[in-house]
This record gives sequence, structure tokens and C-alpha cells, in this order.
Amino acid sequence: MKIFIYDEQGGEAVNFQELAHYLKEKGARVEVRGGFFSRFAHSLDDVAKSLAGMRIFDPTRKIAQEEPLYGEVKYEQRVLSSKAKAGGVLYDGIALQSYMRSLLPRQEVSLEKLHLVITSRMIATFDEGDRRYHLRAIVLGYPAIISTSGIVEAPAKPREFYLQRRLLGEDPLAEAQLKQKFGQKILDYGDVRMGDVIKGYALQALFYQLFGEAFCEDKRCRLYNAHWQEELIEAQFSQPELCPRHESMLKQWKEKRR
Amino acid sequence: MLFEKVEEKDVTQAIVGEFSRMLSEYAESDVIIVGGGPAGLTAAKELASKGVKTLIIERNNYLGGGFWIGGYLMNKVTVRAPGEKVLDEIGVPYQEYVKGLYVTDGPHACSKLIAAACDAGAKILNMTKVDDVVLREGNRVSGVVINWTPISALPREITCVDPVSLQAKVVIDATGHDAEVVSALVRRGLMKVRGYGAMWVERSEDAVVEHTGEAHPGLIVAGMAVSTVYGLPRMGPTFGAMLLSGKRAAEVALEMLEKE
Repeated sequence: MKIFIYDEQGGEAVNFQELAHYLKEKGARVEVRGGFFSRFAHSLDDVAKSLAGMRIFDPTRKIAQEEPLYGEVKYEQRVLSSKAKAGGVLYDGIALQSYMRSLLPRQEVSLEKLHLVITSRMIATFDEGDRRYHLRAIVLGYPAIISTSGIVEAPAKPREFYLQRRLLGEDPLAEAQLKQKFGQKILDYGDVRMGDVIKGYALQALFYQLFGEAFCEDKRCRLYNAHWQEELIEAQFSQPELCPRHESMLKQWKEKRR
Repeated sequence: MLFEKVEEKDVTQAIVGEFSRMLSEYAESDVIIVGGGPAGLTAAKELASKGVKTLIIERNNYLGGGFWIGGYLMNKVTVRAPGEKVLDEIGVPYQEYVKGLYVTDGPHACSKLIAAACDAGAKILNMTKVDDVVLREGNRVSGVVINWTPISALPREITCVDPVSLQAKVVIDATGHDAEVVSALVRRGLMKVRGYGAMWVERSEDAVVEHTGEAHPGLIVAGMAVSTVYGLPRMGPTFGAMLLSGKRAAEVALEMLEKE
């Protein structure tokens, strides 16, 4: 198994070499590549147009095929050329994954190859059950996409956070003060713990590729599918990092490779 | 007598003569900025200081938009870091209220920003409203159609005052939520706006700055007009994004002028 890690505007909080080192320790061969789009797309203008078409405007409505605005395409061009940061926009994660998959050359597609894209773009997927979009920290599959802003926003913060925010109103200043108040209980942008949390999500992607099983029921296992940030922090910083069953699965896989 | 003796006609000629000269000279500008609020003024200061022939069009008789006051009619304005750097540039004192949040006097900040734009050489047309846009090949925005603000307040049946047009290489819409220049394009079916969308509040200021740019060939949107065009959420009574959006608009305008 070879893992290819892509820095698709992943953000400064991600140490790609450290992540690669961690995954190598787990038994995979790892290569850190630069941007996914700059590597595989023939034209960044085409990518900009496609990305602009994946924006979610209404969380209760699946995105429709419509022509993006001129300025939205221009914005994506600026982000792709690093003249602007990706932020404030919500993208359909399945559309993004499917577009990325379409760009992968045939020789790059194999069950022995895991493509892992790390982006700061915020992604969400539409749930047909409740007919609405849900923010995601990771979209598993081919390629697997980890969203650093999704890690901050998708798992819910403590209930009291939302109750207090409701009292204070949706004001960024009030939100910043609340975040200070909740401190280590929540993950924030630029959080020094982000690098370690990403390792857990990368491990989920690896398990999914190897065994078709990404998650664990054990709240102290790194593969636990946390819906609350407090659970996420517990799962990612508990020792030992994997539950006995998943530890053994990984061990067997490693031994088989030898 | 304390004052020099001057005849009434001299006063009139001074006003009319100088205004006409300015209007005639700026009938063709490098950049026309519609809206003289914090974003428009910051863009004007940046551009004019680099020798760009810059004209601000403001529908009111005063400049500054909402920058005179903070929230709830209280005249303390706040900026989040790094917006305070613009306050440093224009020489406005401020204090750090909590980490990364700065507070200053609205009248001081606003008047200094107006002065900075004027000192840099930007010219201003007050009491002027944009009725429409001037379009060229490929529907590129190449100017604006203007009229006096009071005209728009009169019933159409009794006003048949034709507007006049001004040309520019680049137009910046900094008219706030109304996005007046963009609206002119929407009326013509040349552009769409998103309205409010599904985005998250904490990133609203970042999103406004990052989305500041060319929204239609020849037209840049800045400030809260950005929010209207791209469906970004409203933000609290804080101005850092307006100032930095103005700066970003100036950078984009300079890039566009270089390409011309």
C-alpha cells in the first residue's frame, strides 16, 4: 500500500512530513505530493470553474447544475494561485471527490494506492434521510478528503457553547470570546493539536482502503467516529491509540507485507 | 472688515468653475469607486496614492458611510486584527479591548480616512447616484451613468432629467448591501447575485476580504457589496473586513490596470 498525500491548501497547521512519518510507522509507503489540482489538472481555469459549481447555498437543497458566477470562478482562480485563502465557502464533498477522481490518471488508480487530499476548504455531504447537508471532517473513498476546517466545525462543540452563543447572537466577536472561554475543550483554527487529529482521520482513510472499515465503536480508539469535539479529542489523544481489535488488524496487515 | 471683499458672482464662479473643471477632467478616470464608505475610501486612498486617477461617487452629501458609528448608534468602532494596521497607516489611535480586538473613536477614524483619501489625491462627487453602467465589448463595465441624488427622489412623471456618463478603466462597487452597480447589471440580465447563503459566521470577515475581486469584467466588488453578490453572512459591527476589502480591491484594480 502506498499513500499519496496532497497539500490542497491544507493550511499552515498541517505538518505533512510528520503525517507521512506517522503513516510510514503504520507500515505504508508514503509520498507527500504538492497540490492535487496542480499535479493532475490540465487547466486550473477548468478546476476553478468546477469548484465554483460545487458551492452549497442552501443546506436543505442539493446543489444544482448551474453556471457559476464570473466572480466565483475568479475567486477560485485566486485561491488556486494562492492569491486568496479558501474560506467562507461550503462545497459539496461528494461532487469534489468525484471531480478529483475524474482527474486521476488511470495508472494512479489502484487498491494498492491511497490518495489522501488535505484541504482547508469546508465540505459537506447531503443526507437523503433528513434531506440536508452535513459538514464533514472527512469524505472517505477515492480519493479520501480531509478538511481541516471541517475538523473544527463538523464535530459539535459542547452543548453549552451553542446555548451561550444563542444568547450572545451570531457575532464573530462573541464567538471568539466564547472560544477563549471553552479553551482546550474545543478545536479551533490553527490549533496546535490539529496535526495529531489529522493523523486519526488519515488512519480512518487507511483502514477504509485496507479493510472497508473506517470506524470503531470504542470511544478511546482513534478510529472512533466522533460527533462531538470532546469525543474527538478523547479518541485522538488516548493511549493506546487503537483498540485491541484494530491494533491487531493493523499488525496482521503489517506482518503480511513483510 | 475682517474678510476680503468678494462679489457674489466670484463665489458662484469659483464653485461652478472648479466643479466643472474637476468633472470634465474626471469624466474619464482610471478608477471610479461607487460608494464612499470605509471600503471605498480605503481603496481610493490606496489607488490615488499610487498615482491612479481615482474618482469616488457618493450618493449622500457626507462621506464615510457607517464608519462614523459602531453598533446601536454608539460612536466607538471596532476592528479585528489585522485591520488595525490600516488605522496605523492613517494615524488613528486605538486600544486593544481583548486580544485581537481594537476599539477607536468613530469620528476620528472616519475623518482621518476621508482625509487620507483626499490627501492621496482622490476626487469626490457627492450627492450623486449611479443609475446605470456604461458597457463596452463583451459587456465589460467601462463606466457609470450618474445623476443627482435628489432626482431619484422625485416622481418619474415630473422629472425627465437625463443622466450623464463617466468612463473608467475599472469600476469598484463599494455601495454596501445595496450593491448598486451590480444591481444595474442584474437589471440588464448580465449578472446574478446569490443573496444570503449557507456559510458560517466566524469566517464572514475573512470571506468578504477573500471574495473581494472582479465580479464581472471591468467591475470589482468591495465591502458589504461582496456579501450581497456571493451570499456571505452579515457580520457584527466591526470594520476590519471593510478596510482590508478596500485594500484588496485596490490591489486587484492595479492588476487590472497593468493588464490594460
